[in-house]
Amino acid sequence: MFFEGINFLFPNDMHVHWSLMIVMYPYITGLVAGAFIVSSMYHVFGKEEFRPIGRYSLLTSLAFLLCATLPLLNHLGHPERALNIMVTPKFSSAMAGFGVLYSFYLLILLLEVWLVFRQDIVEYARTSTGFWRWFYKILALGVYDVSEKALENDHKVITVLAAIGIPGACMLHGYVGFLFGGIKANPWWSTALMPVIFLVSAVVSGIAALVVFYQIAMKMRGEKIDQPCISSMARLLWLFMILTVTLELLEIITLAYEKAEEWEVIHTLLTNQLSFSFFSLQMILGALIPFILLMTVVLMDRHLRDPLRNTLTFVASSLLLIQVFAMRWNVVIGGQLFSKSFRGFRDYHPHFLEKEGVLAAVMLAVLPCILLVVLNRILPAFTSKTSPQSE
Amino acid sequence: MKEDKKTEIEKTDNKEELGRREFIKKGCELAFGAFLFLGILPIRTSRAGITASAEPETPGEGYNWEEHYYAYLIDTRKCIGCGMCVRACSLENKVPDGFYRTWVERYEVSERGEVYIDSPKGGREGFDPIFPGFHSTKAFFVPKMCNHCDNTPCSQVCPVGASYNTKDGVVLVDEKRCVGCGYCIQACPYGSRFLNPITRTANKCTWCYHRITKGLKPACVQACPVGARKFGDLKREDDEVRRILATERINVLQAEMLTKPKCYYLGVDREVR
Amino acid sequence: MRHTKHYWRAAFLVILGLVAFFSFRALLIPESFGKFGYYRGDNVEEQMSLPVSFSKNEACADCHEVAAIHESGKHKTVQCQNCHAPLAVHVVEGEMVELMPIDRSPKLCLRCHRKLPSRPQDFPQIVAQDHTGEFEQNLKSGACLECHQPHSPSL
Repeated sequence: MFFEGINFLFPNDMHVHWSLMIVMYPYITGLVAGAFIVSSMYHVFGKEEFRPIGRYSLLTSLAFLLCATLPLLNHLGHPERALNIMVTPKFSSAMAGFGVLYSFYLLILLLEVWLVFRQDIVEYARTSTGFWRWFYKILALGVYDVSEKALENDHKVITVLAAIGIPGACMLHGYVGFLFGGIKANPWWSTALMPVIFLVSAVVSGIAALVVFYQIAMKMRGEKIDQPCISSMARLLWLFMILTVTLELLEIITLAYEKAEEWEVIHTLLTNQLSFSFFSLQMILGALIPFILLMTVVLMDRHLRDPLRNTLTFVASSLLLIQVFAMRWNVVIGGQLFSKSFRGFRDYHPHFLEKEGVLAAVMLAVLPCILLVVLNRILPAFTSKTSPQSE
Repeated sequence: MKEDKKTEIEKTDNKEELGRREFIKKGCELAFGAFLFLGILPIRTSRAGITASAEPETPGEGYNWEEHYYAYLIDTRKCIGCGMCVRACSLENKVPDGFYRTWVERYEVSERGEVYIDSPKGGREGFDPIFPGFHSTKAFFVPKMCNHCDNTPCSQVCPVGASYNTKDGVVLVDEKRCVGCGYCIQACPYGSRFLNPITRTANKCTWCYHRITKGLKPACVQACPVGARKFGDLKREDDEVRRILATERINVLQAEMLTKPKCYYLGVDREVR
Repeated sequence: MRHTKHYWRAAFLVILGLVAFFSFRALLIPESFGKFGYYRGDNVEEQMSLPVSFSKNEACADCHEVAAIHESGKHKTVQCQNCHAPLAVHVVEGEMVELMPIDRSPKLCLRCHRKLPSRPQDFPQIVAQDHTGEFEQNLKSGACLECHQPHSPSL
């Protein structure tokens, strides 16, 4: 069954240390970065088709960002010492970048959300009563200037913030890719392509998540799903998806071609331990089928009826969300399934109820969605009291 | 018009006339804040920096780490696989069950290139006879531990400065600072590190730092009955390890990684990774 | 500079936050951090002060005459604490606290001396069945001691 007839692991290599939590973390920060890129399509590049979800994608990014540290804290051996990473960060380590990158991006995003919604905040401060009146007054920082000039200034600052935010979001997720890519001890992780693969697949997951959330939100509100918006998202999703899968395959093709020392163990890894999660989930169900569905939506856009376009994009996006999760699983868990001896494999099966198990992961996936609903109540993205169209 | 929409809140917000006053007021607030920020920042990046005296300090009393630079030599041609080293280490350092700061691997190789490798409990209880299913023409034992590299990939990736290299060449982990993220364990190409389940921090061989700084040898070196493990100080003129490194053909594990290990091997075969 | 009041307020809050963070951080950095390098300097001394369990080989001769026999035989390179236990189990600060464990099982001897292909050829090793007539598993405690003296084992 195993190559060379032996299964030898180094004695300290018996356990998988980076668990399902470490699969969830890049998944969540990927959604943060992806949602932000979609909002920047409108706020920086001025593409009108993305206007309907411009504000909603910012809220999505924020909701997931606020939950991003939770899987890490759950995983650490000493979460009470987690502040050490901010107090004495050692910047030769990619992981130490977390403190700076997270704080910087959080700041940019909070400022941008504040400015984008400021007009509504001032309006709510004016018209609400009781607790909420004070809440919105504080959020407005006691300034109620919504004159045309003020809003013009705001618009300029938003553009600048969104432009700074793009590299900010890219770094917040890209450093995770570098965290893996810089480990020469692990040939499945060590490649210059790793930060790029992580980033482009993050954009894929962000757009896909927004398609799904937007359609669900519109259905629940009983409103019409904006078709040019869906078409544009489908096109962007298709292009990024092609790029992602190309890079993912390129890495494996290069390893297979060079047939260096690590190829034997990686070849066995792909065909045995990861055969289902890589071939079936990541490539066939997660890449080939959405590719065909999205190709239909993009190339036959003019001929499609609205409900069909919505359904095709919804299904393709859902599958792509699975694909990106499978990719994170295959990289993080897959890289730990073989020993550093390159001669043995170990198993990883997360249990449902354990500390870093399936239930915890599901809760971590659901929590940002709940947070998004709450944020949308406080700062409604789809209606604006001050203008008929959302900003 | 927009002017008509003013409510009582906006009436108090007299923009045009207070423009200059607001500017000066806000400017002063910002300047004060910036001054505080810049003032605190450089002083507090390193508290120790304030109290450092001109004379360089070395830790501990009666021991000067500038006078030592340690190295370890393993002669696999002599190792008999008794596992007394593994036992001594786990007793000396209270290593938890199922984890190993040092271990011994057994290799049996056939002429056709078939390889059998095992390390039952790291070799702590010795080795029982085995039947690998082929006739082996070559067989040997390889003791292993943390290589205390000069170009440590593990200390490089520690995010909080818990893993560090001492001036006498030993790589240590500060158990009070380690957050248990496990990054160093992933980064070590030799599998030397593990996560201690009791302290939930990273652990590894320390070359018995508490012994070598008192002039003793590491527990594993002292336990070896055949002299397969040797510990040396490269700064001493008459050191045996230093002499062997200078005159005999030695190797290190995974040399291409360029981690510059300080555990040197005599007689290591190509099958050993 | 008109219509910008809210920017000033936001900037003020941001700077306030940064000041608070850096002040808090300054309190949290350990005293000795950075003394010798990017780590907590006190830890080096902490690691140097950990308790020693295995003593030097010569320590046993202080109380036990058998050490002299051991020094003259083939087992002189095998430290006493290998077959017995670390000194810390037996003696603490010059006072005996417990008897040293004595393991008479043949497993202890065979640990080094059973024949294995991975052992150097010139090392004394036996196959239990050929040497004693019994399989290794069937040997009783003290079997090797019927012919060999453990401290100086040649016949």
